[in-house]
Amino acid sequence: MKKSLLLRSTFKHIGANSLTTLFMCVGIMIGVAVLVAVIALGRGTEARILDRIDRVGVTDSFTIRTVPWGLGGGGLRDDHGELLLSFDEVTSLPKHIQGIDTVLPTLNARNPVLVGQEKLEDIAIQGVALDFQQVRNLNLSSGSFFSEADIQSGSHIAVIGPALANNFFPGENPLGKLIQVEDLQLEVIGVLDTRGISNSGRNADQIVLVSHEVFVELFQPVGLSTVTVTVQDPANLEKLAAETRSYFEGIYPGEEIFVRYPMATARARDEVANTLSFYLKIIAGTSLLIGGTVMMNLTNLSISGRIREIGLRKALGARNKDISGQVLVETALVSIIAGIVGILLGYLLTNELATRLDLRSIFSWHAPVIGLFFALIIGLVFGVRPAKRAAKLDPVLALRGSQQK
Amino acid sequence: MLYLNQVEKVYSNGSNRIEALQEISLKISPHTFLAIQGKSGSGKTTLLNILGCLDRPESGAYQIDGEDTSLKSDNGLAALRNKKFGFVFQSFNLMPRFNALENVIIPFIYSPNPPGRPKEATQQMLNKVGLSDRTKHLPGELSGGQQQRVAIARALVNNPDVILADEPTGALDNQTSQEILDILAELNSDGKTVIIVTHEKDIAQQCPYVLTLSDGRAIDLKKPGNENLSNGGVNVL
Ligand SMILES: Nc1ncnc2c1ncn2[C@@H]1O[C@H](COP(=O)(O)OP(=O)(O)OP(=O)(O)O)[C@@H](O)[C@H]1O
Ligand SMILES: [Mg+2]
Repeated sequence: MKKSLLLRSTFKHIGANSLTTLFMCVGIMIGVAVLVAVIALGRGTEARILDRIDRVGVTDSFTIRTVPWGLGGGGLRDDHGELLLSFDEVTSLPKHIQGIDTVLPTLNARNPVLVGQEKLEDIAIQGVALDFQQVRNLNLSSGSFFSEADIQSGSHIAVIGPALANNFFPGENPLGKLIQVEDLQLEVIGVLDTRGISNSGRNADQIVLVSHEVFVELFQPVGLSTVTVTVQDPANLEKLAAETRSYFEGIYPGEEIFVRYPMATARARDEVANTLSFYLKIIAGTSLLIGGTVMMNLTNLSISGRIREIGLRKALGARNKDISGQVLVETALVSIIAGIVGILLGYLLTNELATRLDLRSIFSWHAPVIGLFFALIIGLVFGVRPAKRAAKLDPVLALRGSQQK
Repeated sequence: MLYLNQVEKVYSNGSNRIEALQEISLKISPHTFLAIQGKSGSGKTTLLNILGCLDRPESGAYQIDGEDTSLKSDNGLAALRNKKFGFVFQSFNLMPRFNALENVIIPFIYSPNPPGRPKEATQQMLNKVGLSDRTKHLPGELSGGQQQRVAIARALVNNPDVILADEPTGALDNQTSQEILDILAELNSDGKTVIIVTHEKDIAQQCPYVLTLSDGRAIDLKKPGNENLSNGGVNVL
């Protein structure tokens, strides 16, 4: 009863001074909103990294290329003037560098793919070795990967990405169907699990995997520009990648060899998120502090306007702690309101940031709970001084509307 | 029993000392109806504030029912104000955004064990001051006399022994003043001690006891001709 009466009078006060209340809220609102974004984006990034490591699987492999990613690199003709590594140089790599396990020469082409009259342009065709599936940790949603026997018999077979399967054979079983690349008809023997959008922004599911031999038959490559290398001990990954790079740069003086390991891209993304989160935390902290200070000053001001009321309450029996308690309830209530609005704003902000910067966000109970917690703490901490001031007012003076002794 | 012994109150404004109360010794028995009069600045409000435990004497002692107030903490005094005294002010001092009921209920909020249930007690007090049909009105929607009645109902809600009113009729016209005085007189005959500060001669005349202050000193006490103890009593010692 008493509590509800006090709360009611607090609500009345807040409602009657809605403009002041709004100003009190702004800083805390922004602070909480940014805080919510920090948490949601942080958790999203964390999940994305874990997910990526899981999905890519290969923390024990790196890839080298003679051209930067996103620029050709199919190893087909040297008409771009690009450096092509010979098969021999590549396959003999484990002999030259200790610790390298296997070498997967990867051949890439981008070519139209046809099924009957239907044609999709610019599809990634990869010529891969037998152990590609195992090394890249690829899963098939149906069918199987090439076998030793398949390769020896020289069968024209392919494993395709799920997006391609959907494009050509929507609602049908793609296994056993034929797709045409250049003038070869390839039988689909497997469909990959989805991998989503790759780091370079391409759809990794729009892909055709064929054996090395079939690729050679299709495109007659003259060398390699992309090689995936696996190492025996993942701990040495970065060191071996650097060694491999200087090995090739030694063979081809003046040429640049590009290296990438899966973690590197994850890490780069991670760094964006980390930097963002660092600045967001500063913004959140600053606006919470500013919000708290603004609230403290406005509360002080509102107390100055209510000195007679405080004097009256004291005359009617309010103890000092009743007065300070009421002020704290007020600041706490205002900050909770600010916190709730801030949480809603935080959701909007997070979605905006996530889409603009291509980050992932995860909302869970953490963000609202922590946001509200901080809002409440700010309200209480910055309410203490005005509350003490109100409590210390001398009743006789306060009743006259004056505060100094 | 309210007992003041050699109470002094001094204000110092920089270099000049204002002796607001000097050597006040008074005994006020229960059921007394006392008016305090005197020129402006004579110390009436200061005396009433000390009686109501809003203020502490500079020196001297103030006992309430045998208990020395100087031994009480601020919280102890707040509890006394809440339970023992009801305050009525010249300017009513109602909360403008609270309706009559909500205003009357305030002392209840600060009471550890209020007498009765809030809704009923407030309604009952408003009935007593003749405002049963104005319970949901805001102060701004009430006349001055009605506002002062709400204030009296608020002073009564915790069932105090003593009503302290500082110029309760100061802001009201003659007829309304008389109505308010009648309510206070009725409360006194119900058994409450009523102490009012007033400027107005005809108000003071109607009170059985009238204490006159001048420059912080008690210079005169008028007693009723037929003083008997059931009507309380005041003694200047
Ligand atoms: N807080 C204060 N600081 C300084 N002087 C004060 C203070 N309060 C009261 N006084 C002085 O004490 C004296 C008594 O004041 P008090 O308010 O008791 O007078 P009063 O009899 O109630 O006057 P009025 O009829 O005008 O209300 C006055 O001279 C006043 O100026
Ligand atoms: Mg006065």
